[in-house]
Amino acid sequence: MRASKSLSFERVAMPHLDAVYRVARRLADNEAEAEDLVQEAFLRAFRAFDRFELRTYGAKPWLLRILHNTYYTRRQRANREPTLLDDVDFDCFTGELEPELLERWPDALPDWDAFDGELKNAVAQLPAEYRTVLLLWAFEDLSYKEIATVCNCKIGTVMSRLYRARQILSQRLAAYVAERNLASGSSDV
Amino acid sequence: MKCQDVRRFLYAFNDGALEVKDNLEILGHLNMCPHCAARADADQQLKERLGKAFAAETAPASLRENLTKQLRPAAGIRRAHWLVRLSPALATAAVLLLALGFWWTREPEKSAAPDTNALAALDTERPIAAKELAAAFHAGHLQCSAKGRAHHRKDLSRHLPKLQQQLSSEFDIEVLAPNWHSESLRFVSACTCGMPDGTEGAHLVYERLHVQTASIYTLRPTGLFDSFERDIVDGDEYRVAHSEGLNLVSWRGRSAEYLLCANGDPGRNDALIRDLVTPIRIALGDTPADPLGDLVLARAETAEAVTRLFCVAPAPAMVLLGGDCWITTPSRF
Repeated sequence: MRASKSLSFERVAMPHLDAVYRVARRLADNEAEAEDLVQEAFLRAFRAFDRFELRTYGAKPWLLRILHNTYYTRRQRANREPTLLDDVDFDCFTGELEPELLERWPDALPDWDAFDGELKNAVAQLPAEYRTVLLLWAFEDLSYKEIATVCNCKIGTVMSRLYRARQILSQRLAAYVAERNLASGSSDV
Repeated sequence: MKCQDVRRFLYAFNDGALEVKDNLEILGHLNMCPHCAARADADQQLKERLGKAFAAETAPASLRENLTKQLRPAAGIRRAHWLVRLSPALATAAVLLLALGFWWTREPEKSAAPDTNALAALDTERPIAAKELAAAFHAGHLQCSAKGRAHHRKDLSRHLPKLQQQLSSEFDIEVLAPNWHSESLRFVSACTCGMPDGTEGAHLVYERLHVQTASIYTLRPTGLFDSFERDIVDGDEYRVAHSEGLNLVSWRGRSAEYLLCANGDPGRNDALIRDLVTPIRIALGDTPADPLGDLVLARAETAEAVTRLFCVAPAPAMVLLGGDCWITTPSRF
């Protein structure tokens, strides 16, 4: 019985190990913590496998959700609970942002290769809630609905967090460009 | 729309999360406003760059090994065929899976970059001949002919009922356009395609999580699939291709594997599947003594087991019901 379950679980879960690890790596402070996080998440998933409703969301969102929960449980235990945002309505949220934040965003971008290091730094410095949605959106290509499922929040919250995460990244990159004169001419309407 | 209005929703626009009407309004603005268009491009580049910056990151081998050890019981386990383990054979809802090559003309870049996990699974879990059969068939046997007046016409409706009407009235193609939203499958697009004999059909593409891709190909009755058309199997009538058109569904999971499902009595289906597969294999110069002997074969006895199969495997495809041809999903068994 156990053998059958473990083989089935392996079949379902292991193909997503890299994806789960990638997200864990960006959430955790270091490699060892990321591995530990993934290990705990997979073992939790294995224990819950009998109750796993594959059909609803598919294996990857399910595993990522367990990872997400594992991460936040650990943070709470360690009294390092991230500041969770309230559920924000997207309409209310976006109105206060544009266009000021991105005034300096250049129309013509320089070679993105110059940005990789800066981009990674910027991602690492995002608040955990923003970082999570950004990771799921950019790396795992999940839809808003799937991200909401993983993070157990509303779609509007996903949108607003993603909005702000992108704004922060863009702003940092725009500043980076401006500081180094990597591109000329910024404009806005 | 003003720039400020557009930029509020630019990200949602890029993510395809807006209604058609809003999309069109924003698109209209972007066509006229280079600044907003540049912003939209920059956002797309940002996403791509983020993906690339971290995509190469994979889990350490030691983590994979540790997990595998922990998940498996202490005693050594032979890796049994997982599909067969899913189900003892019973008659209520038998599902046959077999690799079936079928042409695919859309999104060739995905074919060029098959999912390594899927291929690894094929290598370790499935008979190699099945993969080769599918790949060979995919590569050379049934390629799109690019014939027909509407070949690769892609401006078809993305609204399934309208699409069905459009294909029926404009192209005389009877098409099944199932709404698989409840199965987490999103209808992506449709285009028309030509078969080697010039027959036109419609290709409907569905996606799940941007990973699994399902394609339904539907066309009017054609001699090309004569060997598929079996009316009588062991005394029971099967209408695989008649006036409704022949419908094939191919699942890829970013691999070159295609599956075909049928329910009903296993023995009866074996005969049907054999009749479907044999001519294909002969055409490929692959003539084993038992055409089914090295193909993937699985049976499930309950709807739940079939559903698991649907989700875990690259998924089922065509369901042949006695007396008619249906595209369906296992949950509707």
